Amino acid sequence: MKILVTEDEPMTLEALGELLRMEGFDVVEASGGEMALKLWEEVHPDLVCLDIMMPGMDGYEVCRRLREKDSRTPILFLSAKNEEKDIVAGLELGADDFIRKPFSTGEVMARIKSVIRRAYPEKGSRKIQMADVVVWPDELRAEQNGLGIELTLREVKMLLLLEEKKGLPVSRDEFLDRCWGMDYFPDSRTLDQHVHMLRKKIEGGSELIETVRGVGYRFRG
Amino acid sequence: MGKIYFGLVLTLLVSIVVLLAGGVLAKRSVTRVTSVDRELLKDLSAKVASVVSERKSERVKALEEIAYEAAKPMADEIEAKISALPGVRGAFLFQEGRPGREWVLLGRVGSRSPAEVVVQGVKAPLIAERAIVVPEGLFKEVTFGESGRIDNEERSFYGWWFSPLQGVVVLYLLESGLEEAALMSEVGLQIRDDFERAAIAGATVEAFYNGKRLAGEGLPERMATAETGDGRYAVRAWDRRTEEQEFDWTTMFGAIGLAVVIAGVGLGLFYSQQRMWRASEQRVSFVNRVSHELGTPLTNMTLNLELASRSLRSQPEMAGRRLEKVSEEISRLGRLVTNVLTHSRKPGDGIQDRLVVCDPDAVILGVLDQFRSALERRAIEIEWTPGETGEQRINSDALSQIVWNLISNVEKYASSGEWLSVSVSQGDGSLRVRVCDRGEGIPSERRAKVFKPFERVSDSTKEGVSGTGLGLSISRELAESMGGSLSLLDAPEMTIFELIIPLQTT
Repeated sequence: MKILVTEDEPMTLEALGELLRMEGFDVVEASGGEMALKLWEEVHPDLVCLDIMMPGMDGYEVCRRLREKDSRTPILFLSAKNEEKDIVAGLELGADDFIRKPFSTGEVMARIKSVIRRAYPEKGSRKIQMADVVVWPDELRAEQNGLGIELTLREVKMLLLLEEKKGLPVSRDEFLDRCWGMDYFPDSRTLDQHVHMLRKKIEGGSELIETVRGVGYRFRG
Repeated sequence: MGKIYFGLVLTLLVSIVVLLAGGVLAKRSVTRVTSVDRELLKDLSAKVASVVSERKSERVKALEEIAYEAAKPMADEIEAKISALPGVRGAFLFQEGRPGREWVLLGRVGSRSPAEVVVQGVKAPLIAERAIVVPEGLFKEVTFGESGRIDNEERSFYGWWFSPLQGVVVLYLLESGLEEAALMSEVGLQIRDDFERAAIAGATVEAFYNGKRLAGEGLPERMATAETGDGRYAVRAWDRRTEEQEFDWTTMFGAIGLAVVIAGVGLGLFYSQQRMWRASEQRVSFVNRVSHELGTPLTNMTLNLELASRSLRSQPEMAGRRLEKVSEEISRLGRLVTNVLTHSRKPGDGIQDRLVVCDPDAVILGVLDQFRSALERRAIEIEWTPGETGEQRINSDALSQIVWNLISNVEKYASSGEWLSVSVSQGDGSLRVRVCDRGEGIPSERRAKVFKPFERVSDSTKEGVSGTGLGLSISRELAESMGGSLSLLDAPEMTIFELIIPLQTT
């Protein structure tokens, strides 16, 4: 899932990009409106995050031009402009959601996932049963004993890899290659951190995701 | 805004109404009265009286002459003579009390038939009220030269008698209406010229005889009346009245003045309301900009704190870098808050109290260091030239706030130039700090305005770069409160802000 993030403030762009990568998304960063349009042509992202106030071409203009070419790809405004008229203007131009700055990271992730679910409902039908956990990978969520679990894209990738191996252990390297990508270099502690988070989310997670000493992890279904 | 325009239109309408009303009130209809000349009136009255009595005496004289003729035995042409006198319908001769010859004019067809003349006790009249009844024995006692009058009951005819000879009486049968009409016509003709002259002199006059008009017309205001022996005449006079339209310029000027005052008050209110409206809009816009400005560092802090917490265990050095960024943003936030607070207070209040001994290079370098990573992220090359002035007694807080605002402007608005130069020098007892960039520059028409509060080189949201519009305004006020100046210098392909602060002699 590729996300194009457009933001003129370098620190925000870098930090938001990093956060989305941590959540498992592929992120393309644009520091201005013109660059965003150029990158959109090249990478055809699945979702576009747009700031409004940018030098040169502003976010509204980028949104208008994108909507002329493509009416489907979800567009999400992230802006410190927080008056009602700004929000209305953004939504009228065809944006799918508007998040006001300053935002909480949890809110941004939840809104991005919600927009993706609405934009790509056909991907939502896939369902995988893992022990008593039902996973909807494309909706980034799972259910266990009637309770909903919000998952990050990374966590979904990890669960899918464990499911693919049908109870066999998955090595640490394979986890890092398959779930983080070749270009990304997290260390082992990052993987442990993510497994720890996943185990916390699932009831009886420590038993279901079993540590295989010297190798990695496996799923005991 | 609509209400403000409504007020203006209303006051302008009121002033137009006042002008129109003034025009109507200023137009006046004036009646000019030319009073009747009382002397003239008296003269006319006397003239009428004399004409009437003259005519009457002429008539009496004529009747007496005819009576002398009629008394002669061979009298002839009596009929012709009496018919020449208007109103005479017959003549009757009485001798020694007995009726003798008589001459009766029957008149034309359609005219009134003459009244019957009878002697009382001799003959009964056919129509009693119409007949002239001569009292029995009247003429027996009459002496020569006497005359008298006998009226009938209905007063349509009367008899006038005269004795031309002893024992002879001639009685004339006279028709009152005809006689009066003839008299009036004659008098009227005679007095007409006098009345016309009076009218030319300004009086409208009218003369009446027995209630009938002799000359003139209209309703009288002054009247002179008099009685003659057998009638009443009156001369009435009117003041001449003329209606004139006048334009009262005093009223008109008053109305114009009032209209101008109302319109002036309306315009004054309009401009003051407009100013207030603009000021309140600027305030609202300022609050929006400040809240926008707060949004960016807060977002960066939230994101970096989240990333720091996620990598705290696995990558503590990464978490450390994130926390440094949070600290950087806290500093940015602090400066923003300082700017807003400085704007809210009066900049420069008690500024002299905050003088400290410090090295200006160190103060400026400290600010530059705060921006270093932000400038690097925007690929802005930094050129730093210290002044090496040594320690000075200056207001380091104000200096750092001014330099912070100038560098922040370069970061926000001039990053396209990818170059920033900060230089310090000392000369003429002053500290000189120059902040230069090669960004898009400030258009000449906006140069004069950049130091005004809320003024930004581009105010359009489409331009997309945020800012409170306070930095330069506050910086200049701070510089001036220290006895110095902050100015924008003319330079080709470069924007140069120069800060000059006089140094204290220690």
